[in-house]
Amino acid sequence: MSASLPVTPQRPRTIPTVSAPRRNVAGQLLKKTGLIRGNGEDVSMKEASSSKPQHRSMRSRTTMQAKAMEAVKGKAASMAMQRSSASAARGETPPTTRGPVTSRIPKRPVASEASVVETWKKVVSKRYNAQNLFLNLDNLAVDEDLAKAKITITKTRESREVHVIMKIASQLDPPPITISIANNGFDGSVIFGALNRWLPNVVNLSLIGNKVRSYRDMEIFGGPKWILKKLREIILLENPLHETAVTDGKVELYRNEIARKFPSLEILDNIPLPHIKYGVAPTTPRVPLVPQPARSFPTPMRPSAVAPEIGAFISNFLESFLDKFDNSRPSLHTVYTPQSTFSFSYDSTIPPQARQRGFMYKMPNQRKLDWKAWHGAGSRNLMKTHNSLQDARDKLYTGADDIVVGLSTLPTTKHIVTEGEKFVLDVMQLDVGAGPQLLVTVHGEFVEEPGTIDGIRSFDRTLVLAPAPDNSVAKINGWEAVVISDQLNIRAYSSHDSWTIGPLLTQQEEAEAVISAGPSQTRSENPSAAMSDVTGSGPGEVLHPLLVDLADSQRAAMTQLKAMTGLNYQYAMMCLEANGWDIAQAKSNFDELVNSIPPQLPPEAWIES
Amino acid sequence: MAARDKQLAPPAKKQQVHRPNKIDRPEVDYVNRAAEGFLQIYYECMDGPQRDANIAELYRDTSVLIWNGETVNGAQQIKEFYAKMPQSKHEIQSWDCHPVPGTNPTAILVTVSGIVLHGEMPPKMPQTKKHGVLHRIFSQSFVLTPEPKPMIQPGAEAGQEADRYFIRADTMRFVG
Repeated sequence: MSASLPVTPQRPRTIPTVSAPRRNVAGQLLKKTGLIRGNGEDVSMKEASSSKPQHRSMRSRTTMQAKAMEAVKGKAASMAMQRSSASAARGETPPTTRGPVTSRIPKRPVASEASVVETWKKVVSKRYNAQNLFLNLDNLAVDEDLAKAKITITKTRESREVHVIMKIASQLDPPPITISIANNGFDGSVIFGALNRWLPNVVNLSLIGNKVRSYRDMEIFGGPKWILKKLREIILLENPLHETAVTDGKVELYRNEIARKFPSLEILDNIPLPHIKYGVAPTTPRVPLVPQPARSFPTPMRPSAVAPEIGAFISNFLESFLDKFDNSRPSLHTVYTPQSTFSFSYDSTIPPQARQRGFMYKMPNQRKLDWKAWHGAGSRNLMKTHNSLQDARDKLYTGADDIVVGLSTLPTTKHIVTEGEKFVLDVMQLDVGAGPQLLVTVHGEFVEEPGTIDGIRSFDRTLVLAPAPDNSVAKINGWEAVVISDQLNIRAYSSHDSWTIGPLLTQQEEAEAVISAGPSQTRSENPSAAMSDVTGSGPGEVLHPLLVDLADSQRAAMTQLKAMTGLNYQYAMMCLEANGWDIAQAKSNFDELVNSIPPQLPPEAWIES
Repeated sequence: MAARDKQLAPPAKKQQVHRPNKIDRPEVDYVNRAAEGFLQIYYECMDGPQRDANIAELYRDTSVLIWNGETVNGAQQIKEFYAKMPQSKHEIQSWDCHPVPGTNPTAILVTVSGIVLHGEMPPKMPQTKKHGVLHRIFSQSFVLTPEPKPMIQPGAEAGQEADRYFIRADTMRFVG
C-alpha cells in the first residue's frame, strides 16, 4: 500500500508507513469519500456511474488473453503500438456527419457535457480496430474531432478526461486488449489509475511520451497490491522515469522494479524480461477445483507437526537458540555460516480477534508498544512499497558477521520457552541443498524490552537448518545444527489459543451460529466500555474506539495532530499512519492537502462522527 | 523521481548501522520478483470463487503441505485436500523472501503473514453481530524450487529457458 495520502506524490519513499494495515479505517474511509485517486476518483459524468463491473470470469479472461497473443503475433500489435503515434495523429477519421450541435451555438466556449461525451465516444470508436482489439489513443492533442469540439484535455493527475476516455474505451465491444496512449504527456498516476479502474485486463500497453515519473504512479492508494494483472507488454520509453534511469545508469534496476509491479509482464520497452514460470503448464481455460465450495474445514487444528525422532533435537536446539537470542546475541555468530541469510519484517495489522478481546487494555504493558524501534531497524516487509529493490538488498543480512550486526539493531527480547503452550512448531525435511535440511516454522510470543517496556509481541520465525559438520565452529560451540536461512516476522500480540487443538470453525459458520442464536446472544464485549476501568477515566468518559488499539505515544500524536488541525479521529489517524506517525510530517501533509486546489479533504474530515 | 525525492526528502531517520561485512547482492532482485509473481498467482488461485484447479499444478509429487499441523504429501493429495477447503479470502500484510544458501538451482524461502476469511458471508449480517466475521491472522512459509531445466534443444539458445518454480514445502498456521 502506498504510504502517502493522495496528491502527495512527491513524498520521498524513504518515509514509510509505520502502521497502515490495508484494511484500516482510513483506507475504507478514503474509498467511501472517494478520496482515493485512481479507482476512487469521481468522473462526475452521468455515464461514469453506470460502470461495467470489472469482474470477468476466468474463462473470458483467458480467452481475451489468447486473443491478445494472436493479435500481437498475427497483426503485430506491438509493432503497431510503436508505429501508432504517426497513424493516429494523421486523423484517419472518415468525414462523418457533423458532430454534436455544440459548435453551432455562438459564444459558447465549452461544449455541453452530453455533447462532450458524444464527441469522446466518436473519437474512441474511430480509433478502435476491433479486429486487432487495438485501441490507438496516441496524440489526442491533434485529433481533429476534439479540436472541432474545442475539447481540451487536462494532463495532470486531476484529469477527468483521462478517466472519461478509459471509461468509454471499457464499453467497446469486444474490449480492447492492446492500448496505445503514446505522446499525450499525461501524468502517470492518472493513466494507471484510470486503467486500473476501467480497463484492468489490458494486455499490451504503450505509454511512450507521457509523464510517468515514479513507480508510485503504478500504485493505487488503498487499492490492490498489484494492478493490471494481465499485462504482458508495456512501453515506457520517453517518460521521466525511464529517462532518469538512463541518466543515472540504473536501467537494470528500473527494469526489475517495473517487473515487480507487474508480475505477469514479459516484455518491457520492446526487450523481453527473463521468464519466470510457476507450476506445470497451466490448464486453459482455467477450471474450478471445487464444484461446490465446502462449508467446513477438512481437519481440526492439530498440534505441532514434528516427527518424533527429531522432536528432542529440535526443541533443544530452539531452546538454546532463543536463549542466546535473548541474552547474548553476538554469541549466535557461531550458529550462522558465512553464507547464511537473515532478515526481519513486521506486520502492524491489529489482529481482529485480539482487538475484540481487548488485549491492548486488559494486559498491562501493551499500550507502551509501538513499531518505531522495529521500523528504525529496517523492516524488510516487501509488501510495503517503500521497500525498493535496493532497500530489499540492503535489508538482507548475509553471512554470520553481517547477521550479528543486524541482530544487534533489534529491540531486546525474552522468549519464555518454559511455557510450551505458547509456542507451536511445524517441521519438515527438505532436499533442496547438498545435504539434508529441515524447514522449521515457529510461532509464539516474546516480551519486548524486558524490564523497561515488558509488552508482549507475537512472532513467526522460519528457519532452514542443516546438521553442523564435525569440527565446525558451530559444533565446537555446542550447536548440533547451523542456521542456513532465518526469517523473523513480528506481529501485534494475538493469543496462543489461536492454535488450541480441536475443531475449527469458518467465519461463515461462526456468523451463522450468531444469527441463529438470536439477539439475546450478542456478545457484550465492548472495548470502549470495558476499558474505562483500566484507563482510570470516569465511567461516563469513553475513549474513542480508534484510540483503543493505539500505543500511548500514538494516542499522544493523535491528540496533538487533532489540536493542530481540528481533524476528526479518523482523519487524524489516516494522516498519521500515512506519515509514519511523524507529527511534523503529518502536519505538513495536512497543510498540503488543505491548500491544494481543489481542496483534497472533504468537509467530514473535521466532523466527529 | 530520484531527483524530486531528493529535494523534498526530510533528513533520514533511519538507524545508521555500521555494516563492514555487508555485501550487495544484485541477484536478490530476481528472487524477489520470482517470489512476488508466485504470491500473486498462488493467492489468486486459492481465493478464486471455486478455487482454481491450477493451484494443484504448483505442487508436485515431492511437495509437502503442513496445514495447521496436518501433513499432506504430494500434489494429488494436496489437490484433494484443497478441494475440501471452504472458500477463502487472503490479504497479505507482510512478506519476505531469501534465496536459500547452498541450493542449486536456487531455492527460495518465502514467508507471508496476513488476514484471512473462510466461507461465504451471510448477506444480511446485522451490524451488531459483526463478531462472527472476524478475520484470522495466518502465517505461511513456502520453499519454492525451480524444476531442473530440460536438456537444451538443438537450435534453442542457452539461457533462454524460463525458470519454472514449484512449491516444495508449504506450511500454514492460523496464528491470531
